[in-house]
Amino acid sequence: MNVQLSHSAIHESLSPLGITADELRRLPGNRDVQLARARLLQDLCSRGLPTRRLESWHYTDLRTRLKAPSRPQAAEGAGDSGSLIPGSIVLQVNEAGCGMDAGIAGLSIRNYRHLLEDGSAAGELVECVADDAIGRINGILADRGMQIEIAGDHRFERPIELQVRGSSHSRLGVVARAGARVTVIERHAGQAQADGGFSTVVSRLRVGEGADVTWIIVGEQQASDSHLGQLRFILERDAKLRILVLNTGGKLVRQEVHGRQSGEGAQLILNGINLLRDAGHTDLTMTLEHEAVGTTSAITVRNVVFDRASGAFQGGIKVGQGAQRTDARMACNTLLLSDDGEFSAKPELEIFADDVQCGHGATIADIDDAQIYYLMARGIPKARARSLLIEGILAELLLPIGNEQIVVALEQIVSAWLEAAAEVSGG
Amino acid sequence: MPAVQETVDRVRMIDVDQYRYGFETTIPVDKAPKGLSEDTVRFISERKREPSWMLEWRLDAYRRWLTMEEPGWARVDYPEVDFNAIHYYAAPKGISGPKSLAEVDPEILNVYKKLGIPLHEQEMLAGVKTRIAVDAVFDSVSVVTTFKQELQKAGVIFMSISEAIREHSELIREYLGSVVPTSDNFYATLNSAVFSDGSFVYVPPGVHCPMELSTYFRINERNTGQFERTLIIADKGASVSYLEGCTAPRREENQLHAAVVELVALDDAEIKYSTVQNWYPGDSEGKGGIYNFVTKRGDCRGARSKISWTQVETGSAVTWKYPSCILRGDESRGEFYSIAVSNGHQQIDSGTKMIHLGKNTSSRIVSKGIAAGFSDNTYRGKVSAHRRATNARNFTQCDSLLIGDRCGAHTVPYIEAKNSSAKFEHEATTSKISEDQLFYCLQRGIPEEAAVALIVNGFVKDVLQQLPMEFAVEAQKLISISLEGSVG
Repeated sequence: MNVQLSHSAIHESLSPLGITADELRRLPGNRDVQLARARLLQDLCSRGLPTRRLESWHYTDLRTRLKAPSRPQAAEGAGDSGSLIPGSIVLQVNEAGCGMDAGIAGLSIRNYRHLLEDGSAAGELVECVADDAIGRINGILADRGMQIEIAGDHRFERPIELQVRGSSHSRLGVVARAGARVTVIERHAGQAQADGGFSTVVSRLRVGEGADVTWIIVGEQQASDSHLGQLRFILERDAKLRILVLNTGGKLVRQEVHGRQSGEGAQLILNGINLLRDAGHTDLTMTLEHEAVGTTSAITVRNVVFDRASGAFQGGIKVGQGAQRTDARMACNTLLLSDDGEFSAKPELEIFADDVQCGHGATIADIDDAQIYYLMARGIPKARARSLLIEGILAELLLPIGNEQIVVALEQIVSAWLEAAAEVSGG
Repeated sequence: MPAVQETVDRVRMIDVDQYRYGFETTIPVDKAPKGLSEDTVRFISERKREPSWMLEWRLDAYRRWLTMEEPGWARVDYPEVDFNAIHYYAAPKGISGPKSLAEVDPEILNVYKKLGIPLHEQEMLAGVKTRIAVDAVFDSVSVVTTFKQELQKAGVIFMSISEAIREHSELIREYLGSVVPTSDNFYATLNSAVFSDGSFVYVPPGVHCPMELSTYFRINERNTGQFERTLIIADKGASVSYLEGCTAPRREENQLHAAVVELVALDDAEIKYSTVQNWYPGDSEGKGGIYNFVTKRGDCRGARSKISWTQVETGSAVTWKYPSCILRGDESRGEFYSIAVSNGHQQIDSGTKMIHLGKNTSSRIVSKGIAAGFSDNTYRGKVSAHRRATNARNFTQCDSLLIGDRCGAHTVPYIEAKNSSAKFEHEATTSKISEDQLFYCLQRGIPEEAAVALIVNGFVKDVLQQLPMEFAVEAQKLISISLEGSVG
């Protein structure tokens, strides 16, 4: 550990992360990786966890909200929760890095643990900008993950499901070479742990020229879990990326998506569904930079808030000087269904090119009584009418995924969640 | 072939440094020594013959200001302001407050004549039949206030704030700082310590102010700051429409204007506040110009009260300004209509806050930003509904237009709801002037610049309609001036 840091400073910084200095020392990594972790820890000590004063954390005060429990002794269970849809290529992200499907044509996988041990991960571990608290925390704690490469022009019909479970800290990297086509499901499942779990995942995605990637993040945390996730992507010329983020709650969930459209003609669709209940807090924060000519983006985020839950969406679209003929759309629609709940939205635009079409919209409202009345008049009970309307509003966002089996599986997650939420809040 | 003379003249005419109000007037002045200290605060208070409680209020603000930091969150960039290099008080010699027209230095009257501001009561704005009462503020003092007697007959108090502190201390003590507290923010606290002049308006219960009121601010003296302070109170069932205008000489150095405006509307009262901000914007290199750091806030304190802000922003080198409404009274309503045009190297970070606290409150925001040249134009707004603000409604529309690829347009809205009966809608678009629209005009023989002005005027029409008629005419001219030369 760096000598400049006092034991008490280290303790103070590590305690919200639920790890001791001894445990930190035992994480995998050669000397370079340990130095990288020490540098990140030093940053964390001097900056502290972000508070509302930091603009990108305006609605999620991590300093007061993050209180991770001590690291579980048995790091994870071995059980397989099954894949979202049958026939997927399932890759479990665990300490051993086992369960990796080898020998699939067009797919190469490297165990991130090996990259920590041989030091080749050290460089990318320290790559994080000032307000990137998730990158920093994950960099300090990451002990597992994988790097996947999809060979050029290789088209995968079967989705690849990356299963991240329990209290763990993972790094995932995917490179889709030119002309490749693939669907990746990044699935986070909390694990019943008495005092709640704490997990972080940082994923990096590069979509090569003309490649076509669908990336689905399904966060199914337990009510007492804290989870910090981040996806960083870059789109090359004529690349296509569809992202779906589905969050079903947790005590504290923040999912970040940061992207760059650096190749001409790149196209992005980003849809987000945040389901909030109990006293949980969910934050979806995204930034997108249009850097090249003729790129398009369509971002739609829909939120449903029950009980005492709180949530936030922060979206930032930046259109650079050279990104003429950009077409960027961003919408955030929130159904605030409880007087004790709250939701905040900050959809920002930052434009430096004059030949562009950019728009954003944000609405916050309850469900229209007239629509409920319409369904009730047709004999549908009130609670069911509400659920139907909510499902209708959300289902629309699942359509761009294209794969019907996945759409149905996600619809089921949404309906089950709505049913449970309606039961607790009495319809 | 070289450009024809007509083109040369035209380009010259539309240059950013063709600011029409940039003339300078030499008048003997009485100034506070440069720098800011408790003595400066005492100097100002003494010159204004203020009661001791006012001095204490100012000193309290000054001591608080010393502990505060300048805000850095706005999207503006300017060199550090040296607060000790400014004169905090400058008044034409022999004038410490408003006088009758006959007593005012003809040089000063000449300034207002050049600016087209009617100070003689029989005068009217060109082509407009309505009468307007004017409070003319020159550097740190109000020099003339017109129609005072006639307004008094209706029970309306309209005078400089310096006079009001002496003559209506009970109203000042009750309301000053009640909307923007002395501790509010760095520049508002500075203003509270050193504010110079501005207007005070009190409209008694049930009175509809019989004429438009207006204040015209002129910065004249070099190396001075202007710290305007305005307080408007509309008592129960009262209504008033107030206009504010401002200009300054063309100078190489930057000058600071840090104002605080407070509006209070009691039950069923209505205040309409319009601004045409045309401070010197700096030259085409971005040299000089006014730093316009302003806190404007209206408190809809009473039930069914209404406050409406309309602003046309074309001037200033740097603008930092968010006229806001606190919707405290049940069924109160707040409105904000804004056109912000930035050209040259101007930077604007402006918008509004609508804070819904009472039940059944509603607000509407229409903001149009136009960026040209090398300028940056940011809309920053907040709409929030408190947990008890049931049935809060907001509609926001903010559009930006870019002319050229060296400028930037930005939108930063904060939308925060804490109860399920709130209904908030926000929409924003950014685009450039449509080629089709331009072609359509050109094809009909309208020259390119006139066509751009026409299209832009169509784009900002929603806002201009909210201005009192006499200002709408003026504003329409301003818009076309600021944008001339942005095409081609």
